[in-house]
Amino acid sequence: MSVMGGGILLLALSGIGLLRPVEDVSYTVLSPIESALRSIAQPVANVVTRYGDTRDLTSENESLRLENERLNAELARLREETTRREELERLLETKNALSNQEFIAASVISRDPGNLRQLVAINRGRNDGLKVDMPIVTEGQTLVGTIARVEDDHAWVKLVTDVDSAVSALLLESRAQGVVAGSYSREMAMEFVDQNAGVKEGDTVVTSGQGGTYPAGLVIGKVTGVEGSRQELFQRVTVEPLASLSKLETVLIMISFVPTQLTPP
Amino acid sequence: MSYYVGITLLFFVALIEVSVLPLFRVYGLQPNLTLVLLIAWLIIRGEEEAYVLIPIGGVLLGLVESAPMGTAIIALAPVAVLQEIRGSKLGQGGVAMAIAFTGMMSVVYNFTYLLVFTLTGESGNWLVATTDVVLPVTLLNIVVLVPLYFVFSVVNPRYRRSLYA
Repeated sequence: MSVMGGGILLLALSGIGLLRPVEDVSYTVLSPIESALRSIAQPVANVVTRYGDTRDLTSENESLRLENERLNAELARLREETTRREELERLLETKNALSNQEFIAASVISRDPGNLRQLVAINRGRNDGLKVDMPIVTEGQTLVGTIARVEDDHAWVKLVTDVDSAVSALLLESRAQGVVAGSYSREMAMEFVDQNAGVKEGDTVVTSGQGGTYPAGLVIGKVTGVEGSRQELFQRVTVEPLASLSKLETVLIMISFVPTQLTPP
Repeated sequence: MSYYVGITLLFFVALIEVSVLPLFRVYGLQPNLTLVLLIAWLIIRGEEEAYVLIPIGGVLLGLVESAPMGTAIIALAPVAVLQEIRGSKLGQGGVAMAIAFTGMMSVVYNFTYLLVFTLTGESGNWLVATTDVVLPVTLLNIVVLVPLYFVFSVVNPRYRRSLYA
């Protein structure tokens, strides 16, 4: 019972932020050891997961995947930009929403060991100007997630596949809107998609910018499946993230984007 | 001496949980290695050492994971509580008891996290979490426990003494 009591006491102290210095110091001390362990285990993991692929093929595949991710993101952004420009040109002069953004790079230093949440820790924190809810993207500028918790020298990033993640999104091809939500099974689904929206496999899903929590036009992923009978109000669209979330090493934080906190009308 | 070994082992297991195990996830899941290690320790070496190691394991895990500090201690505490109920009979059950105990504790451990997440306002569908995470991880923990149990048995002095008796 004393162990339980101690746990509850620590939980309460953590809740009011009194343990923050301890957590910061532990990350400063432990993150180099974690990185060393990960770099030792990474080659073994590559062999196990890729069934004996040679190292050259792996690195080539990795660079091609990054290039593909970057090009897909670029293409999606250009399409998005064109469509938006056509819609808004008559009304106002627009600029590319992303080209004006400022980014800072961060390394992934740890992954949450729990199976119920999908979070990674990065080596940037409050001292670098990070704030909760700032969007995080890959080097190819596809959406990774948002900052869930910030400490002085590190931050926890909630991935888009996390069960607590919900992103206002639209399908680039059909302009159908919905919400991309994560799940416990680490799969993403786009919900509330109109039954009449022509959705097909391979369609690109991007952030819609609705709600003000993400900038518009960030690529989230590709449609991998569409479910839903005609009797249902919405179709359920399965989405695969374009970013390789299980192998993240470097991410970019969109520090110039300030998420809007909407108040009820 | 065994306390130093246990604490060192827990320290590395906590680090392995955040650095190495995510690279070897099975269907996106990884075993709760600290929990499995503590259960194996408790059953093979007895409750006296485990009572000290359980809170230490909780603190070490709390330092490296994203959940609020204290969650891991609360999640691991039932291991000690069940030992209290079961008494010394726990160590006599062999590997079968270890498997049953791991299964039960894995469910309690993950439900504790789920409870803390729910209380801190992070959404959680308990039914989906049970089918998609808790039960598969319970199986994974049992798979990891079996070899760990035999390794602990072999290195346990009592076991080695019994070989020469």
